Amino acid sequence: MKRFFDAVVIGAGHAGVEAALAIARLGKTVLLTATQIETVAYMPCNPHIGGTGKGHLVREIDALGGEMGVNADKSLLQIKMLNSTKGPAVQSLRGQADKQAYHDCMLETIYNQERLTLEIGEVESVNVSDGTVSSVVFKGEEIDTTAVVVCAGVYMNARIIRGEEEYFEGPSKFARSEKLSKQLETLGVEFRRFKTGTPARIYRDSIDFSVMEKEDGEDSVYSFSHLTKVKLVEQLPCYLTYTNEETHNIIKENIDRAPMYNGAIKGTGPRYCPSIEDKVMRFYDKPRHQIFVEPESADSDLMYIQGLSSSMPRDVQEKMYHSIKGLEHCRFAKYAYAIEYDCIDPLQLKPSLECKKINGLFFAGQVNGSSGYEEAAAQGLIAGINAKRYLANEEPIILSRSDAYIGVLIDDLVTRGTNEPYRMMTARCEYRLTLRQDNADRRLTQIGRDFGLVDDYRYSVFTKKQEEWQRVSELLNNVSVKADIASAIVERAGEHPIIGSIKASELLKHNGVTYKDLLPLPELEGVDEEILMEVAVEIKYQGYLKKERAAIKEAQKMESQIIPEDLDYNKIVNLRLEARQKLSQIKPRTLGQAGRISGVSPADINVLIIELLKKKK
Amino acid sequence: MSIIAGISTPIGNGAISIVRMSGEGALEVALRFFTCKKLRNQEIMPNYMYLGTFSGSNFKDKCLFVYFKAPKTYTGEDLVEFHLHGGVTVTQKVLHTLLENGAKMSGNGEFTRRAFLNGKISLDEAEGVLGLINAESETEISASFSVMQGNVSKRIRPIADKLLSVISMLEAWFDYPEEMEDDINTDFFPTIRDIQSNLEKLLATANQGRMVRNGVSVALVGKPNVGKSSILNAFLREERAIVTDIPGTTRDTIAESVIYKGVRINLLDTAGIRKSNDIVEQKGIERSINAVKKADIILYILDGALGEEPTLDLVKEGARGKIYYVNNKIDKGNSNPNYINVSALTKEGIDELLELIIKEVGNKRMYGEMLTIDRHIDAVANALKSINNVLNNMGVSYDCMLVDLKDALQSLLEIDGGTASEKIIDDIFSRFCVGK
Repeated sequence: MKRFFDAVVIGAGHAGVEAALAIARLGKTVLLTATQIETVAYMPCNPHIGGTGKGHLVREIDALGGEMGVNADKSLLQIKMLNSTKGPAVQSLRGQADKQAYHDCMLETIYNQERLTLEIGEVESVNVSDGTVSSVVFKGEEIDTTAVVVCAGVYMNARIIRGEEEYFEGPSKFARSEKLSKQLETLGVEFRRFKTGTPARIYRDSIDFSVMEKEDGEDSVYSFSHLTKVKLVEQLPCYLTYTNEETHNIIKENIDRAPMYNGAIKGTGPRYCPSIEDKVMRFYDKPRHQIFVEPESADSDLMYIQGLSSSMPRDVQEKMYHSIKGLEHCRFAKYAYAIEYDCIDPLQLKPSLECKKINGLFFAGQVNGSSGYEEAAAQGLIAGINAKRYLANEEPIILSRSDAYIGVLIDDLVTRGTNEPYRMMTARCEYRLTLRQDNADRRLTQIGRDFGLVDDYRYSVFTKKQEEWQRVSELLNNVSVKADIASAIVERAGEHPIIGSIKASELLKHNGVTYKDLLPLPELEGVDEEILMEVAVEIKYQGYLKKERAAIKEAQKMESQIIPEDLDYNKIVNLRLEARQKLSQIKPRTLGQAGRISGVSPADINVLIIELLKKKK
Repeated sequence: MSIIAGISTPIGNGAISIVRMSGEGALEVALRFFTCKKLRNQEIMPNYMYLGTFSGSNFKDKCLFVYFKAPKTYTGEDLVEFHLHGGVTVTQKVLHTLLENGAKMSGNGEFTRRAFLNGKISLDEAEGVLGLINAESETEISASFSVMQGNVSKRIRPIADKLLSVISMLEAWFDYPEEMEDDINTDFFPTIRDIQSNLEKLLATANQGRMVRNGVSVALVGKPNVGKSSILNAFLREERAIVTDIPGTTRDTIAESVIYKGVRINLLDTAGIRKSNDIVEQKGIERSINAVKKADIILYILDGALGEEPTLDLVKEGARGKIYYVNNKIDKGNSNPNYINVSALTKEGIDELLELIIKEVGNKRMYGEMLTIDRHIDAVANALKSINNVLNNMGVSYDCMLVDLKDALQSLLEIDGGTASEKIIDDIFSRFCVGK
């Protein structure tokens, strides 16, 4: 008898596991497939979760009821708040994760999840009837299904390149996906080639750490998930060293053997994680580049050499690595390599991540042209939720650019597209002060609750925190601080003393005064430090936040104007030709999205407005 | 929505012109400048027209004012209208006053767009927007316009580039904190101050730019019968003003325009300024004083035949423009080395006088580099406002500073088109070796 699942998720990397867990948790049956068991929630490149912009994504995934934050907290080796002195908007959490533990914990979660089945093998084709997904072929078996989420990462038609060597396999010699991209092409999905790379893994006992700079984690109060209560105590250090003139000379002398330079690689590489040969050639005069040496896992004897990604041949890699302080006698466990893979142009997707051409076919993660575990997980979560909503005949969930970094990420991909693997950056977010990592739960948990992924436990933690937030907020508005205490605080920050007593909330607004200055106040005894910090940010940055809120309100008016999907742009004579082409290709969902398409001018938008009015008549 | 303002009637034509302002808080902004007896002790009523005065920083004018209360308005927002005397100068001064005090210059069709977004508009009305778009492209294809625009962006681009370099350095530092340790320079305030002074200089050309576009206004003043009208006619080379020998013939300020070497000169002939009992003439005198206040250049005409010396203090009368003393009728009397000597009768010295006037507008080659378009002026003024914010709040954290820096960049980029965020990210990766 033919098997049936409500949905099939192809690929069990960071996007696939979020998608599958979301679908199962929302009550539908799902088959999750992986080419090998080791690929499940595997971290093929760097051993961290989070980082600038990406830390925001993890917190948002968590606030919506996703798994990444919880799983990262279970496998942390070190955690740090980046940019702690530059302002609350650009602070991001970054954790060193134990790769083995991350994989093990996620696997356990998957096994324990009802309605979710994990099986090993390749999905060879997706079958479509009447433009709608009907079944998949998995290891020769036809399985009926209603929705498919493709989370194939870098595995489709993957090619590993290292100097003159070339292998047709996925990361770490894992089996690649051989057939799927070619089959999807016959359905009208368009593919292209992207490239990325990873540095070597080096045996720990062959590294001289004594000549490197030690980088400890912070004794911090942080965790990724709003649910995690146990904070990390013991932290494993990282180490910092540098390339030097000799390293650069080795690269320059051998540059004709680098596949990126001799034409062996044609895929588009990311500016966001260049290989060392790229860095040396593009910034020819820079005397040194940073190299971070990071543990892969507490139980492993391998170290990750961040900053030395390369596709040079093995002998050149050895010379390069051996020229670096502390790595003089290092032994290679795995050599660095570049990988080239099939991915789609995300302009083929709706903001729900469903393919415009095929109903019920969703795409998420690196296959959409993004880069990074967090970007993948964020898309996986949204694609999973929307696949379930597709099954249930419900409107898709679309987060806007003013709701979340996830909204910015997906809007950028499906509206502007990308010509290189896309990385999240805080610089991409126009409402940065509003979309902070600290308030991710206050922005999103209610939304997650409404569509059903936030369970009772998470919701009760959230509402309790909301109440405490409210209490602390009122407290700061009511507590008055005596002149001598207040003056001592502002004088420390280099300001003139204060005459008369002052409300704690007013005191916070002075330059240089932070929530930490308020901690010793007797009235604030017992207040949760993290909550105090969040409340303080809202008070301190009131003026700027107000300005952003006004801008958001303005943008929302454009976002609320929905454009019918069947609008024929070629029939609108007053649109310029370029606008007509772009609009026909992207089919924006709202006027706001239309306005962000490159090549669509404000005048074109005015023409669209008239068109919409004609439709309404 | 933010407050937008714009001139809603064709510029330069018509007996009245209307300046419109829409958005939450538009009434508050308007009432800072519009005063009226009735409103002293009673609340303003929507949909009623009030007669009162618009008082700007250096001008006043009677006008009619209406307030339409949201949501029953054209745009669906609070909307106010000033009905002003027709003509370019007052209308623009009112608009600029509003722009300097919280309103943003409305984009083409923006009132209509808001009406649409607030569900207030019918298709017929929206078709009007289409008209505007077509008008816009017609202007744009005119060569002079694009040359002018090109030259302005030539002056703005280096300022924008400098600003971009500071922003992308900081953004790279935010997104790649560890790798930027070697490249970050947090002492960028001198650059910001430099940008501030460049923007100030550019904005100062706005006045000159306005003269290029609207013409330089010249008032001729002096005692009756010193030959003001004759000089005017000499400029115009035609008999336009009534010239007689009876003192006090010219009772109206006559606006005439003459194009001299490509510069438009708007001539305001004035009735002679003297004490008079004749009511009609008194009116004329009042108008003359108004002309003196408005003019970019004042020609104080003296009767050379009588060896007249100036007796009126024009600055006291409210003159702001440059004052030239013109010794007329040198065909009948002596020239005076302290004054500009002309003869309206023989035309001697008239061309030299015209040269002097157009010099005020600046070197002709500079025209293209002046800010002449309201949208450009508005963009530069907004950028300057944001830069001033940065310099006035130096203690705030870097992320807040970036809010204002990016606003400033976005304002400048609007002149050429293009969005700040894409430019910033491109700049980060072309300048810094970041990424792992």
